[in-house]
Amino acid sequence: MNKYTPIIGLETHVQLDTKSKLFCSCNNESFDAAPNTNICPICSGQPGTLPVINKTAILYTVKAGIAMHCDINKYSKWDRKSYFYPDLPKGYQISQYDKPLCIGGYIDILLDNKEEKRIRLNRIHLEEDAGKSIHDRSIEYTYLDYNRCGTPLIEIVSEPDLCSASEADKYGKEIRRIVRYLGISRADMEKGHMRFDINVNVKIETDNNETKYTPIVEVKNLNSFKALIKAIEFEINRQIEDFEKTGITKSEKNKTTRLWNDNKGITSQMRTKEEAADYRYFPDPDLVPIILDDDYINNVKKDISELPIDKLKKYLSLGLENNISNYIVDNKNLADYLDSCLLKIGDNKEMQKEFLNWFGRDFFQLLNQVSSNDKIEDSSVIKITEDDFIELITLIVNKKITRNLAKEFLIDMWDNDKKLIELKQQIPQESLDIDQIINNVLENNQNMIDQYKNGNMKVFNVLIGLVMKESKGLINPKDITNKLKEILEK
Amino acid sequence: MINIEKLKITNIHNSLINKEYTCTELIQSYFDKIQKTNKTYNVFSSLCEQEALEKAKNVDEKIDRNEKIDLLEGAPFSVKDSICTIDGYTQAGSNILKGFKSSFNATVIEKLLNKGAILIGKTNCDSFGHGSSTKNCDYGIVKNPYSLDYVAGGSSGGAAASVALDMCTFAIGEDTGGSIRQPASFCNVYGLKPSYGRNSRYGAISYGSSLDTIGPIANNVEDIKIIEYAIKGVDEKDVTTIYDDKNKTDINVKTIGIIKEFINDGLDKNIKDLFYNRLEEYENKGFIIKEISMPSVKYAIASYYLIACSETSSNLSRFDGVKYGIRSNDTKLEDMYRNTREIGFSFETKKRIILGTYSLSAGYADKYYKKACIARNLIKTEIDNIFNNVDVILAPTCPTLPFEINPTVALDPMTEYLADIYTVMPSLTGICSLNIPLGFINNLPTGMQIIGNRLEEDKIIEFAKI
Repeated sequence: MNKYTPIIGLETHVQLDTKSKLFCSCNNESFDAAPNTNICPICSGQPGTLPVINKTAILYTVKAGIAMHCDINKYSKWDRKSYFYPDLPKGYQISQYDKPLCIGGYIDILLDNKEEKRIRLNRIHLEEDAGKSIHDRSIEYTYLDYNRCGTPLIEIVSEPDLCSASEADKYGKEIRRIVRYLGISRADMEKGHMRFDINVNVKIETDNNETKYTPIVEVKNLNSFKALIKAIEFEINRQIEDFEKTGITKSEKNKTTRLWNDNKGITSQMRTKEEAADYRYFPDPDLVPIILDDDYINNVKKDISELPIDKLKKYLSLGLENNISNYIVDNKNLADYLDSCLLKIGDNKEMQKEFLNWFGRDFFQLLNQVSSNDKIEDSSVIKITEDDFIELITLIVNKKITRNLAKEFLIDMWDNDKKLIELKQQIPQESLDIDQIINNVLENNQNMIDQYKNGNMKVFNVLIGLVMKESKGLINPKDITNKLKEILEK
Repeated sequence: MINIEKLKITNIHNSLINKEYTCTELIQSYFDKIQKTNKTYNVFSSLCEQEALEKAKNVDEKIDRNEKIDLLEGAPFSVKDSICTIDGYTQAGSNILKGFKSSFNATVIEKLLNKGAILIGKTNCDSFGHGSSTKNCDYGIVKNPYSLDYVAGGSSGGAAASVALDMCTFAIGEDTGGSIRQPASFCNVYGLKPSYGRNSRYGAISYGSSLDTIGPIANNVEDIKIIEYAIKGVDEKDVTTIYDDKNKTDINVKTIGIIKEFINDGLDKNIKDLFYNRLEEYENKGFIIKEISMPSVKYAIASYYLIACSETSSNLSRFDGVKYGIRSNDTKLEDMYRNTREIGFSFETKKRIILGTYSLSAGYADKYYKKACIARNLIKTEIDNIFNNVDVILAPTCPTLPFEINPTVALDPMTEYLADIYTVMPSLTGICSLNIPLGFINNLPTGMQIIGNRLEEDKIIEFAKI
């Protein structure tokens, strides 16, 4: 039997969430804008216009580079990538060719077996997006929408270190997490903020110890995780079948580009004519090189906090379940909330344990009511302030309140916007003195004490019931049991 | 009737505030002149008569109200067709932009308009600046003001002729490899190619972005200075503009450099004589003349044409029939691209696009484009060294007299390219150069360049007054 190992590399385009476009002052957000209303002479390539660089886009790219462990080039430059297409208004795209902002780097992903895998990066560069060609409105015409022209994109190029669709999926999602954490992109797949190009081939180890490779195939423009997974799976199977049929292996000249058909779930060969491209890269003479110094880079470094993968590992080590931990990491608002609470709780292990129990169970149940989808849009959905939550846990740990009542409070705070300070008044003051209640009950039921001491164990439960009744159910039965035993067996 | 012959900006200003004539009368006089001469010389591609007269009326009203007016207020000027203006058309001398109107003014134009100067029209040029004779202008050739059988030069031929023919007080041109200086020399006027980055390029339809400069053409050096001061400066819309920190440098000239390699058999003997006569005059005035060698200058023409054509092949990609300008009737995309560019571009423009595309192509870029950049750096290094030893460089502007429009023997294209030898060196090195009239040979004018180091415009302008 031949052994097949897929070799997959990803080029990930991420739209940066800057206020204005990369080379002009047009609004960068065009999702709801009518076609060609968000354009200016610069981004629509009018004669006589010149690009002016958006410094925030450079900052965001450097942030991504640092978070992804790249070397930041102190000297990088802009190059023109030439090709004709109607949605490319200048006839060239301003990109970075041989001196990108970020070089090397890696992204760690956590596999299903909890093992970490390091995916090396080749580079990250900054470039402008093209417009959109709309082919399906008319048989006769192609419509053009230039709103997206000049939107800043970073292209994160991985080395071919991925071995399966699932790994590619995890890698893509890790990028999404990182850029969201950095606040440099909303990484909203539906809005096209993230797109993938994949390079796939398969390594074949034959029975007689020969190693062969199938021809490399590039599949462009995958704009959902579903498409990413399916296209990779399809390509792997197609290439293995193809190899078994034809025996054709990789050569310098047989790299091809295929297109993904989302409806049919297949890739198909592009016309060779569309493929033949000489982009004639050369430095853009309208722009000046980007020069960064150590101070700049160090300041950006200082600005970057804990990365998602480290958070994930932290939550797992705290004992939170895998799916919950991932959910928290995916939602930065929630992770910030959790981290802030943990920070306030400090080293108190008992508090920490109690808090995490409540956070992972009751708090999540409440959260699920309001946010069934995979994303928490803003922190206002979290209805309980950190301080209230922690104080509630403190009350529980200090046995000032039963868990049952605490849960009622939690729900009341969440559903009815109640504050703990109001709810606390409902805590029965007398009930807090557990000794007092037990003594009262025992004093009034001397006969039961006698029966118990004579060996009638059943009365013990009756006594518990009486104490519970007296405490209006606010004291933990376990605490009553312990206390009662302590007194009776003295 | 106002005598508009060789009017200076200060003359106009004084006449206006002394109410010797109104601005409306002034502008009307220029349009009368245009009316009479434009058909013959083909200087303007479009006019803004109505807008200009309206603005003149505003200036008159201001004067009537005794409001202070700027020195440039009311001064009529023309603009090269390859520079964007809201008024008039902006066709870059090319059929592909036939009927194109820009939605904005180039930064330098905006500055002049803000000072009250009055735009009267757009002047013909070789399409996209590709040429030195306006033979490559899709709107016809501009004729030499001194002889109708000769060209006005190019590519800013219309701009230089508009000044020489008193169709305006001054003109704004664009110079990539000599396109202001050479027509200025052919038309007996002054023309400044500023240091690269001193004046904003925003709004100049790019030919070779790393070489393009916008500058003034005028009848006298005083006007050149006034206009250059009005248009220079850092522009946030052009990141290649540079801060002029040389304002306070010594503008005195003691030593004049002459580049040995420039004086060769290619230089017309009569021009050479005129040039040496002028040098003698300077020597008699006490200047030291130093002969200097610039071995790398032999690479200048090749380096210039490779870089300029490479950049232009990319800059002109946007003219694809999709967004503006003309479009062929084809229904298939590739046919539309091909035929739009086939009918839209002049032969010379197509030639330069093909040359540049080749020079940038995979497998050839190292041999051509990149090598040209290396040569350019070499030339830059040499020029830096030269300016350690001399204050200004003097050189002829063009090795030949104005070309005949219909020569008995057709001009070899290489000869035309080689005629740029004296003007491309300052372009490649980004330094400044001013054409001043040198004299006449057989009734045809010729000029001389005063070349200064980067941002030393003040020095060469002051020297030109001597």
